[in-house]
Amino acid sequence: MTAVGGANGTDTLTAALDAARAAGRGSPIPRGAPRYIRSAIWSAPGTACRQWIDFQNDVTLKDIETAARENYTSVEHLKRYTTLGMGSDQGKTANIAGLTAMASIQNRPIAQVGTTTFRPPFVPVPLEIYRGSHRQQLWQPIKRLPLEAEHRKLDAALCEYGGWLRPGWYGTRDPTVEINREVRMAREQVGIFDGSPLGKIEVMGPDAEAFLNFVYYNTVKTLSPGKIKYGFMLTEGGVIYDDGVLVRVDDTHFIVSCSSSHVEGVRQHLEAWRQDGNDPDRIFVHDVSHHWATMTVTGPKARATLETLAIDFDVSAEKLPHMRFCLGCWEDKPLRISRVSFSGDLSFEISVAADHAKALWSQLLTAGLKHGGGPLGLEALSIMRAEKGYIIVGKDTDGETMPHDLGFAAPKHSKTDAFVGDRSLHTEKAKAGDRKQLVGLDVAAGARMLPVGAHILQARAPKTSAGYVTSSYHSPTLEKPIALGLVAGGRDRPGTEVNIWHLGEMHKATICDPCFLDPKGARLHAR
Amino acid sequence: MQRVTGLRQHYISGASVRARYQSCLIGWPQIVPKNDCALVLRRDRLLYLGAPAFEPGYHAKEGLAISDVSSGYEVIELSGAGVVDQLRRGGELRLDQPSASVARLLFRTEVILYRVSEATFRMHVPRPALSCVVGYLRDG
Repeated sequence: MTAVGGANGTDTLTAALDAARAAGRGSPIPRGAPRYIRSAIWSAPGTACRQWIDFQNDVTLKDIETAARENYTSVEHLKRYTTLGMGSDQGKTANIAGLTAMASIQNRPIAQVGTTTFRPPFVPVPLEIYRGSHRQQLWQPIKRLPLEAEHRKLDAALCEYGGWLRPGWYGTRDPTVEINREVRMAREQVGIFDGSPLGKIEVMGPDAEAFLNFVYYNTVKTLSPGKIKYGFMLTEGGVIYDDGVLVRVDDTHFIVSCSSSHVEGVRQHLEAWRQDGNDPDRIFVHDVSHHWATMTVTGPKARATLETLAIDFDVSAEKLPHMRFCLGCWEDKPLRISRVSFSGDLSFEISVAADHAKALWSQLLTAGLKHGGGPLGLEALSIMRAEKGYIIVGKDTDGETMPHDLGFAAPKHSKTDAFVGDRSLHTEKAKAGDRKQLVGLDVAAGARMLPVGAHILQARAPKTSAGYVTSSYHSPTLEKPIALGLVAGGRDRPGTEVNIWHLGEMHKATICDPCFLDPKGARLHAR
Repeated sequence: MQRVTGLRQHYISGASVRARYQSCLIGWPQIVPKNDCALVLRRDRLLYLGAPAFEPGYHAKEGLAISDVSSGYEVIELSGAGVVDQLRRGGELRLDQPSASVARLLFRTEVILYRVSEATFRMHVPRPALSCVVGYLRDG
């Protein structure tokens, strides 16, 4: 729908017709110069008619008169007595009218009445800025990958994930067929995944170590240069805000690799703590996520695939074991390699400047194809991480999940330094025995997949919800359905059979460890 | 609208970074010179444009943190009669209101905007948002 004519502030017939024609053609609607009414419209106290002053808070001239009669004549008292100017516009539309009315009632010059404290925005902001996502995608811009064209050439199904347009899967057949094929390919050979949206926030400075040790739930100060640690950032309430890996490049240089859809939030989280309670002149936070394109090579043939590249360092298990990082060069271009895994298999995350992403992707794909591999979409990777029991924050956690609910309790008890969320982890609520905890839900082969969001019922009456299913897939590797869920006291109930209810249908599953595949990590640490 | 390629861009942060690069600091609405310059983003951060290949990381002696972001921003130059009006559709923009910083929120995107001549503007757009920002500038 497009507003034209009077509805769009156009009050002449010619201009309205021009606007209507432009709207009909789909062209931009011509905008005339703004017209302002410059003659003052003075309040007329004492009139019987209702005169609106503040449209947001329903303040009328009569309310201003009442305030004056009650001796709330100071502008600060007037504001609090009537709520004048306390709406979301902070008085931009009403304050002058209200203060003018007070001046008129008291028969004083406006300047003597004064003003309340001005708050931003100090200058007018176009209303269209506030319209947000209602103004098509341009106000909620979709983020695009440096390799989008390459993915399209490979028949990628591009879907939106956390504001990014990313390949969900590749190929034109039935999506389930393609996704299952990709999982099997990556488990048996090698998959090449575009992980460019992953956060890459550099934290540098003499206090970087102490700062990150404070911001992370996990102990950071023991992390040596060249090593990587998986960890959580918590809110002050102790709830998991984000997870990811932290790389220590050297003594004063770290890379926070946060979730793809949380990059802006994590950057703001870091900036907030940097500027509050820390010395901002000794800690610097650079978000370089868009500079580096990241490609993940995962699967038993990942190392063999990588060894075909002209890189200047050794990626053997001895030189680059799991959770290690190195800086190097590929064809004289800076390269960063992290040996981390979200699939549960041998994996390398390779980052190169986005300008060179196409060349690296092409070489990796060519090398991967020789080993029976190919491109891997996000849907297949989501299945693989669930097979391994790895979580996605916001999907397998909710607004109350604390790290010990996921089995990460050690720092809570052993970390001696203060950290964000520390005290909240020791409250009565945090220690309650019926907290919802992450569990695996073992479903019998041949049974239906559990619906995500389905309620896991209490064992005894009343049969109310004890939790819910957070992730559910058909595992091509295990050839059966698998699921993860948050269940009250679930970690103490392995082997318990539970009834799961969804839209009038009952399902059955057995509570188990969230890790369905390779619990000893042989694949992860493969040589 | 023209794309500018091959520009080296580095974030440089430090408590005294503005004093160190005082001779080539650029704010709004200053016009950048042809040679290297340092765009002020905030109190303690610059985007350095130009020649030297800085070593990324923290430089303790100078107290500076440096990161290469040359591939992180796409750079476009905008000129023409209606360029200011078109830019104003994305947010507040006034040539008569100076600012120490050239960082702006336009079209809901954190961009860097400055002038390369009286009537030519240069905008650094985060790489993933380029097509949306260009689309808005073209189609309004």
